[in-house]
Amino acid sequence: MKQFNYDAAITASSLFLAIITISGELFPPLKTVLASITGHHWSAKAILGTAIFIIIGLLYKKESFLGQSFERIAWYSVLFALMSISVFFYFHG
Amino acid sequence: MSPSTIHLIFGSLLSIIPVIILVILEAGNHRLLKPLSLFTAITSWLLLWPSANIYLGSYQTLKKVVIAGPTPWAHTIIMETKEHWGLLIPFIATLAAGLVFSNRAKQSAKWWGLLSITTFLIAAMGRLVAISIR
Repeated sequence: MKQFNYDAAITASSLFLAIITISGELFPPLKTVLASITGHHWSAKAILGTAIFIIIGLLYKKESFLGQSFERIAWYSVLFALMSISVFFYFHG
Repeated sequence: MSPSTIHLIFGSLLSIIPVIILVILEAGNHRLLKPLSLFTAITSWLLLWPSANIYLGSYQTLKKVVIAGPTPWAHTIIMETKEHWGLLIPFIATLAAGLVFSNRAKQSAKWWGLLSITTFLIAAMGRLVAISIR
């Protein structure tokens, strides 16, 4: 059995969190749907992000995507998620 | 021990221990590397509990005070960023620890650095929000 694909896992979960966070602010019904899952959108994002991290890490076995190594994609995905969240709230807040 | 105290202790550990790990990596003394990496990853997940306890509990009342006060940006920009950056912390710590356990310790260095800096910035944001509540 191959090892857990940490790079793919964090790529998927960080991009998911950035997209779902920004989408939820721009489209409030999505935030309501998330809140209906666990009682608050924040905890729903935590649970869904964790589920994506585990599932992708276990199931996705390729070490590259579109010719780029996942090690590189993972790093820039996390930086993108951190920056996009802060920049979005700076202008949206 | 209150959730606020646990939150403060765990958050501080997540900022400090990655720096120790980086020093260990630099020194080439790998004896403590795996235990510290595992401890950091576990702490990052445990931190979600006091964070949720505070954010979904007592902060929901304080939030209204912050938004109605002279510094609403303390919530709309700072706290919103902090709460969502916080969700990424367990993934970053788990990835860094995972690399150590997969014999890719060298590649984990930049992730430990990112973990330490991000956690420190989250702590600074928390302090700003706390000041705005006073």
